[in-house]
Amino acid sequence: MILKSIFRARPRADRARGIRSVLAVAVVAAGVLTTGKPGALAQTGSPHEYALKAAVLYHFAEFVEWPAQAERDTITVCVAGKTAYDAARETIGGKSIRGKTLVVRQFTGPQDLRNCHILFISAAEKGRMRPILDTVRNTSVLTVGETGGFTESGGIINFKAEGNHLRFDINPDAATRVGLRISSQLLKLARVVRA
Amino acid sequence: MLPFRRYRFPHGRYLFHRWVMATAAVGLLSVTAVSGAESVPQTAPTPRAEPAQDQAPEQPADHSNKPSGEAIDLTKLSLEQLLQVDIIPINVLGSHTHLKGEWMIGYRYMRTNQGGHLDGTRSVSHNELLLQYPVAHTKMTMQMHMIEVMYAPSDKLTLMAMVPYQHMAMDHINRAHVRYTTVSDGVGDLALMGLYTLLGDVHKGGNRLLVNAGMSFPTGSIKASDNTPTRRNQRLEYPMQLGSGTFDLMPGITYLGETRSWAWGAQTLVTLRLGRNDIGYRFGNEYQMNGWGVYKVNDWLAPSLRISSRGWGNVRGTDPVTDPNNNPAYDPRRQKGRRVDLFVGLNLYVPKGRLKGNRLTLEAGWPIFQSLKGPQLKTNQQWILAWSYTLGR
Repeated sequence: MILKSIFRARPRADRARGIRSVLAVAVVAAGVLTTGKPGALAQTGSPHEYALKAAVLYHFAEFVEWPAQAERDTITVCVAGKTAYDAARETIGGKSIRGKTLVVRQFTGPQDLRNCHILFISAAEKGRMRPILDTVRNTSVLTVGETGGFTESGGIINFKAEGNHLRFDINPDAATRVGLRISSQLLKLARVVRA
Repeated sequence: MLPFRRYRFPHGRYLFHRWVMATAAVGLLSVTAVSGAESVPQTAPTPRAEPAQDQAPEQPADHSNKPSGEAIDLTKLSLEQLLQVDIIPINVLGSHTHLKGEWMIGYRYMRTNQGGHLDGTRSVSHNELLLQYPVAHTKMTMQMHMIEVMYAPSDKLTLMAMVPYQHMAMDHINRAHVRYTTVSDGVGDLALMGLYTLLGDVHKGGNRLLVNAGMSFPTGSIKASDNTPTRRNQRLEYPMQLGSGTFDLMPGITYLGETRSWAWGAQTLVTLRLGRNDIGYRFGNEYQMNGWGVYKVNDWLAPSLRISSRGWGNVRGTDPVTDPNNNPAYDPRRQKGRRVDLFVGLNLYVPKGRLKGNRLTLEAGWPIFQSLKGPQLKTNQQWILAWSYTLGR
């Protein structure tokens, strides 16, 4: 009965108005879907969120020990994903930690892995998450992600949101396998997962 | 003719309304401005010691209370402090939806002033109307107090419930030049709505597409009546009724965009009447399209501009106890119209402190185009004052 009352024949003016309403909805939707760059509505982070994550990565560098052969004068943070890279470069590039300068580099492929201490794979690169993790599997790189299944795929730390606050999971076994030592102080702030 | 010498003089009630609104607005504005303007860092930064292995670093001073507009150096915050920072910088720009588990309560006051008549886009005086009808309206004031509650059972879905209390007053003049006012007031129709994020992510901000799905329930009276010079308890005109009397569907779609300093959006909403009410008529379907832009001046202040286009249809059927020849507002075939309004607004937000989460919006609107199947009273001005508070942040 309800459907009948919606779709029963109506005078032309009413039908025209109804059609205009539907068209308006369609125009808005079409305009949204076609404006901007491809993937404008893809689920990537906002600059603020990536600045926050970059600051957390900065602190990760305080609480992680790399094996002796990975120690250098600088700590290099490699970031996969343009928005995340820009935010990280602005937030932590050139900062000092443990007496060393933090260098931020954009990761575009295995050729950029050289000297990376931390590799952050943003959600924009989730399609390449597994191949990237396979590439670094046997290196002393602290891998950090923000995608579901990251630690299950061999990643060490995964960002997630709880309400409106940032949290992270740590897979300490994955860290130990590549010779990294994670401070218990950092583990206390994380949810420990065993993958 | 009934001995009707006393005409309703609602100034007392109007004055009370205005006093309450003015006091509430001034009070909220003052509190918001004072809280939002707090900006001086309380302490100077303290140097951090190099952390020993397995020891937490010395906690630096809290730098989150920075002068409005100045970027915070997030690396100066400890890891524990960073985990307390809002991912979404909930601010004066607002977000339209909420995060899982959040509640929002709100109050909205809307006032619409109408006066003068239009037939299409042509002005019609009430003297001209009195040549056709025994009674003409001279002006109408509508005031609505709306309580809103929102809850987000998930990050993608926000549920809303809104119930209005309306007070409408219509001034009349008849051919004997007797002026009188009729009033209707009471609860309007309850509306329940869901907003679902179809595309985009409320955590990420940026561009989002939301689907609105709602329903209005006929809790408002369709038998509002008042005394007139010629009759006691006369059924009032269609615009004076408090509800529609029908279950109404309200589908829509909303687009939201956001950067650090700007927020904008577009929305289209349709009201589809289902069936007819108990009296035997239904109001016309409605559509509404809105577009807006908001600019964040600082953490607590954002002006806005909104353009709203509305269209509504004629009444289908008729109220058998009313006489469409008495005045055009009783004629079901003279109800439809279109209007485009421009609203300028000011958004105030308390970004920190004990009152964090309180938001106040003031909007004033004027029609830039009206075409009414009339003659109908035209809208001259609209005022909106809205307050909301988000719990759980």
